[in-house]
Amino acid sequence: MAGSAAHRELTGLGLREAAGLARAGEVSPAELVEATLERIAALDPGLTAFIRVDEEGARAAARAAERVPAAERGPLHGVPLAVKDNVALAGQVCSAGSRILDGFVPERDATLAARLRAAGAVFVGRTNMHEFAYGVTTNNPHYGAARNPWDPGRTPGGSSGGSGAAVAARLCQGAIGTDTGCSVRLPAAFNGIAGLRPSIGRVSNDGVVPLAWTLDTAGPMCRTVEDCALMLAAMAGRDERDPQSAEVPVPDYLEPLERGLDGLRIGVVEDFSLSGLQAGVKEAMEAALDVLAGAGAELREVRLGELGPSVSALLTIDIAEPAAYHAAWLRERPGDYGEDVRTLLEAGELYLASHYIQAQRYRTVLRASFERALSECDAVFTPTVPFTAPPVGATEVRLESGEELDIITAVMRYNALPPLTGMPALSVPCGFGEDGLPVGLQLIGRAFDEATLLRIGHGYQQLTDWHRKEPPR
Amino acid sequence: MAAEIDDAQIVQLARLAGLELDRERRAAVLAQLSGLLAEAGAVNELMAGRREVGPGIRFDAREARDGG
Repeated sequence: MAGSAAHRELTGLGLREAAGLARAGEVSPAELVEATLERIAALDPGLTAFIRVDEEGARAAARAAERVPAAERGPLHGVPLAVKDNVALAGQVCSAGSRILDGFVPERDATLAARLRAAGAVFVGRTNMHEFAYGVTTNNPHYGAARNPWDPGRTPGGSSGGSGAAVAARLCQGAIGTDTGCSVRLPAAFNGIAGLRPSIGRVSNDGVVPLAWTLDTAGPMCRTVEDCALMLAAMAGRDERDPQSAEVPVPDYLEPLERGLDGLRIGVVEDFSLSGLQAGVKEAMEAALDVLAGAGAELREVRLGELGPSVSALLTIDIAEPAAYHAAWLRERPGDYGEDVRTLLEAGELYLASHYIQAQRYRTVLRASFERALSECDAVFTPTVPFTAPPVGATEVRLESGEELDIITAVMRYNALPPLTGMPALSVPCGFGEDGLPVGLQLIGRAFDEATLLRIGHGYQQLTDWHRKEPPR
Repeated sequence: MAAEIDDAQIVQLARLAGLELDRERRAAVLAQLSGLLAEAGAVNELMAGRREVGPGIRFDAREARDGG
C-alpha cells in the first residue's frame, strides 16, 4: 500500500503545484509532509532511496512553515524535498554514503540547502548515493543498493541514485543531486525524471562533500523541467563561501519557459548524437527530434572536433582529484571503503601528474569546440545514456555494437562532455526502451545559459507526457 | 600506460606514492587500470602533440562565458 487516496493525491502533485497550493493556504505544509512520510514508509523499504528519513525535523519545519504569514511565503513554501547524503544540513549526519563519514554532523547547512530552506522547502530526508559519489550505480555497500522504481531489479544509476528513485516514486517533490561526471543526469534518465547539471560556478559547492573539485556541481532533480527551474532559481548565485561560485547574475528562469520552441536551433552532432544506441533509445531520440522540429525548432547538424578522448580525460581527472581528497583516509582507514571505491582511489594514487595536466588542457580544446558549435545553435542534442538501466550489481554493459565496457566508461559517452566544458546540461525523459525502462535526452547549452535549456525542455514537456508516467508500485 | 602496466610497476608506483598494497590489492588495482582506464593514453596522445604558446588550462565556466 502506498498510503491513503488523499495522501497519494498530494504526493502526486508537482513541486510548483504543491507550492502554489501551500502558499494559497489550500494545502498545509503539514499535510504535504505527512503524505510524503507515509509514502516513504510504504515504498522505501523496496527502493532504499533514503539513507535517513528525518520525520521529526520535517514535521517541525512544516509546523514552522504554517506560522509564516501568507505574504512572506516563499516559492517553495512547505514543499517536501530530499537532500543527497553528501550535502550538509545542520545537526544531521552527512555521511556521503560512506562509513568514513558516518559520524560527521555539520553545524550549519550547505549554502544551497540554506537557500532552499529560505525559499520555504522542507527537507524530509537524506537520499542514498554511491559511496562518496564515486560511482554510477548507487550499489552502496554500507546502506544497501538503491533500486529503480520502474523495475527494482535494475539500478537507478548514480551517484544520485537515491534522489532519482525518490523523485520518480513520488517520495518527494524534488531532490538535490550532485554531478561530477554524470550523477544528476544519469539517474534522471534511468528513473524517467528531469535533472539539471548547472554550469560550473552557478550553484555554490559550500557544504557539499567533494569528489573532484574542478568538476563537481549540484543540481535539481524533479519530475518536470519547470520544477527544476523553480529549484534552480532558489539555489543559484554567487556565494562568498565558495570562491569558485560565479559573479554572474541569476536570471528569471520561469518567465522564458513559456516562450515555446519556435526559432530555437537544436544542434545534432554528426556521427555522434544518434550512433551506437540501443534500438529503443534511438527510436526515442528520433521521435523527440521530430517533436522539437514539429514545434518550430530548427534542427541543425553540427560538428564537434576531438570528442575521442573525452571519456578518457573525464576519468583521468575524476580519478586523480578524488585520490588527492581521500589520501589520508585511504592510508588510515582503507578497510572502511567499499571495494570498488577503494580500488579507484588506489588506482588514482598511481596516476602521473602529467596525465592529469593533459586532461585539464584537453578541456580547453573541447570547450572551444563546443563554443563554436553553440555559436551556430542554442543547444546540442544527445541522448543522456546510450542504453536503459542495467541490472542491480552489473559492472559491465554490452553496447549495441556488441562491445562490453566497464559500466562507468559506458555511461560517460555523452555525460562526460558537460563536466569537461563546464557547460550546463539538462536530461529530460523522452520515452521508454524496449524493456519498458525510461530513456532520457540531453541538451547541452552555453555557459550560464541554463534558461535556454529549461525553455527547450519545458517546451518539449508541453507536447509530450513522458514526465507524467508513473512507475508501477 | 594503463593498458600495459604490470604488477612490478604497480609495486614501484605504490612505493613512490607511499601506499601499501598487498598482492590482493595490487591485483584489484591492476584490473582497474587495465580495464576502466585502458584508453587513458588517448588524451595524452592528443595533447602531447599540442605545444601552443599561451594559456593552456581553463576549466572555469566563467571564462567560457566571458570569452577569456
